[in-house]
Amino acid sequence: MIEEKVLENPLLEGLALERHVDSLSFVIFGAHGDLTKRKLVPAMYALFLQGLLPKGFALLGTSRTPMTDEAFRNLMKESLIKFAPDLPFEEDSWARFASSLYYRSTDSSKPEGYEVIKSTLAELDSKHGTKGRHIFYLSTSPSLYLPIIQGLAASGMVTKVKASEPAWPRVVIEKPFGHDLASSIALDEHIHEVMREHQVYRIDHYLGKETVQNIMVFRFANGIFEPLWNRNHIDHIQITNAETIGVEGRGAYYQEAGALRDMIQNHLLQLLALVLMEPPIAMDAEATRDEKIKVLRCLKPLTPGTIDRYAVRGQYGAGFIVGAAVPGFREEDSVAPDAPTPTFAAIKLEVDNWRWAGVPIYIRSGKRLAKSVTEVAVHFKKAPHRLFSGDKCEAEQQENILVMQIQPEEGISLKFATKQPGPTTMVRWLNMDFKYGTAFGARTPTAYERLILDCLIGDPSLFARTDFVEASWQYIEPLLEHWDNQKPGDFPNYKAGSWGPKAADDLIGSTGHAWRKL
Amino acid sequence: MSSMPVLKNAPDEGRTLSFLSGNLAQVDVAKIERELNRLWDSAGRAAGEEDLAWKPVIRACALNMVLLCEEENERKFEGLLSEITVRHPCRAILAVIASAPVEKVEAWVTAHCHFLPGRLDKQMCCEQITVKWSGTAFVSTGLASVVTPLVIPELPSWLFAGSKQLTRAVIEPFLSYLDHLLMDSRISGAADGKINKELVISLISNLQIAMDLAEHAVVVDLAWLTLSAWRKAIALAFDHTDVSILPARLQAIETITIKYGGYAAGFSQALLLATWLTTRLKLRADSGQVSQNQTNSASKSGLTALFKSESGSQSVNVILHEADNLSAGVNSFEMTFGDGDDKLNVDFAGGALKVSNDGSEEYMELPWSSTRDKEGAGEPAFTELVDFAFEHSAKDPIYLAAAKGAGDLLKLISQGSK
Repeated sequence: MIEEKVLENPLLEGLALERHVDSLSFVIFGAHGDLTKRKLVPAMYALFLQGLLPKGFALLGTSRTPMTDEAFRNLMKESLIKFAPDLPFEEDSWARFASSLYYRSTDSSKPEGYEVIKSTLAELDSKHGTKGRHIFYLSTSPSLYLPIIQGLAASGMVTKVKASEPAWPRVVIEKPFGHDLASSIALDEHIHEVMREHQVYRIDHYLGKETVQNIMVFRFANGIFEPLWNRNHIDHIQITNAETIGVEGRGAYYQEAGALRDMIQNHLLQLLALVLMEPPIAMDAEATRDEKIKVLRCLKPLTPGTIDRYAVRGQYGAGFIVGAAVPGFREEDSVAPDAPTPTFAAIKLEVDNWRWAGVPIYIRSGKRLAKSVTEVAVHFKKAPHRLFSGDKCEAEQQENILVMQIQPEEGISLKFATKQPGPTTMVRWLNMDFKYGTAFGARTPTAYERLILDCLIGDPSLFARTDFVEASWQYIEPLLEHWDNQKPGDFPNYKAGSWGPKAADDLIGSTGHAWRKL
Repeated sequence: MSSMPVLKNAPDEGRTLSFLSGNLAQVDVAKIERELNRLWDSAGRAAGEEDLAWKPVIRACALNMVLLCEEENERKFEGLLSEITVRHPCRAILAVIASAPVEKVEAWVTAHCHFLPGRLDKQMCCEQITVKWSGTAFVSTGLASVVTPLVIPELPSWLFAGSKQLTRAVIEPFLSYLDHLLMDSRISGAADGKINKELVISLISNLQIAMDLAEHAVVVDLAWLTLSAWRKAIALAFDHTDVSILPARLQAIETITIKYGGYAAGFSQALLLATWLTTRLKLRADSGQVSQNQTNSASKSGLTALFKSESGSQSVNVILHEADNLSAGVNSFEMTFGDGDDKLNVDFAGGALKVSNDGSEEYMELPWSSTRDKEGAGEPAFTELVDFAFEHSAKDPIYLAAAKGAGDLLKLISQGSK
């Protein structure tokens, strides 16, 4: 129907009209929290300034904290100015945006709270013409996901639609999606009792990053790389997520989560899938997600007998980060003095499929490492015949490396050999660098801007599907269990400001490789 | 192996610093590339040395930007390039036309450097080459023969025709190497606001150049870009997502009234907006005249025209009206219908466009951050408009149709006034 109407209006032709968003109300649970202030409302305001929000739009924030609409608007305004300095803030524009912001104090553990939200949404439907289309964003503690979804269902605000029907209402949940395989399956089962999968948007902000999305473009829009993207030409792949920060006030959460749950099960396995997947048959949500899940299903399972050869854990002790003394993990606030939590994990993965058989994939993720960097490094095989050798040739022990840098500087670099000018043949290895920041000067939208817009439109491509979440837990589960059962005797085993435990070097060294020096 | 002495070009630190600081260094026209390479080499080699006078630099280039202008505007366009390079790393080539008794070609190079966002340890630099052609009579092919070999292949290339000599003969020699033409069809007239015959001819000529050169390049007209928010607001008023006038009522339009400011330039924009509508509705100009109204303060120009559909079933009066105390460009839009008493109005309000019809009101944020929340100002800053232009990489048949419609109307008026 929309298509027909657009064709009837000849004035629309040639206008760069953005993707269509239906009128809707957007409800944020946990609206007094940090995520709302730092990310969600700034992202909404950025979309508003770009004309990407529908005319019929209302944002309803809710949490336990008592607050009036006006106080909520003022709080969001202050947060916007503080946390989104790159957005042009002007009073008139803000006033127009703020007129669609509302707040209700509710207790999500009590049915009365949902009645308040329901009656408010009815008012907003009438006032803003949002036509009963609602999105519920759960920016809360994961323990509240299920009670809130069940509360929404009990009050009739969330209903299960047919698979062929438009996905209204929608629910957006933040990671972690469960604490382990069993809890993830249980959460999904409960969610699917009241909603269809296409109504659920599991947000993984990594997938909203420009460079992560660029992995697909880089692989499938360039003709030269895909023919090399297999076991015949690639020696191994390293995926690194290194952070200099510690637990930053999230000690209690992190003590329970650890590196596996916090980073690897979600962000890094998503990255891995994008790098290793087959070309999707189309650029639609299901085709892409179908290919990604196939990668996880091809991962060689870890078993108690192999784990110690395939995975390493670590925990930071006191050390120095950029010249400043920092405490060890067990000295952090809200962390037990004998906490066995791994703050570092490295895994060697093997992919049992035609394309990747025999190509080891190394993943490492850690806190309080020497440098903050996230990247995917594809190490190509060395030239088959060494023509250039001798004292002056760096060619030995080197190979072409293609690096996709995710953060802090988004970009791509290719390491290649070249002849150093001079009377003898001296081989030098150089990097050809491309940096997003220097090639495209325009403001890069935040990951939340992209993901929220996709959710408003109803495009789940960049959101995690239930089978991916389950498969990722399935892969990680034996490791979690093994490490839970075998308490670490050597923690802390790396100093803050280092590159992790020595065992991680031994892990990659066992196949004759070495971690990249970053 | 015997030890070889290291052959090193001692970097001319002063010259390199001057280059990176944005000062022009004169170079031999035949050795522009060589000199640039030498300077970048010097900047790069020294980057690792301590006690340097400059921070490490990244030489960045994602497109070519050739800017053709007269000598008197050279400083203005240098300033523009300096701002553009912040957001669009490019090789900037300033092609300057100068009057001089003796014919000669000279060249200078410099760099525009900016710190990367949030970093004070690294600068991104873009190179600028200035090529000045001096002589008594400008020969476009002469200047083009110096400029076009400097265009870096395989990167998008833009020619900004900032010259007053906006003629096909001047532009065409450059377009054989460049794939985008950035121009401004707006005419500038006397401050008395009078749209005289010369200005009409000048506007016809500008629009004709855009249409002619569209065969060779993607033509982007800054006058057209200023109208994008207006077009969107009007178009969406007939879309189900917005003010929601039924699209069928486009056939019932009776009058279109556009108020503008900014004298002849504003007239150009208002005319393009009007002919965008008439061409989208497949209406042809039937008659028209340029009007002069005497107000208390000054003589105000305008235009009235009658457009008809092919079958003759629809007649639309178009009134362009210059009003007192208005800011540059289109200021307000009104549309009336033959099948009802309601009107569609689009006006500036609170730094946005207010779209109203029959008691219903909607606001559309302007896409320009330079005008946001500035009461009464709808024209973006020049640099923001040029930024916006770079987003247009494909030919725009809607613009070309509107330009043709405007040209046809002006020719009709011109013939009628003979």
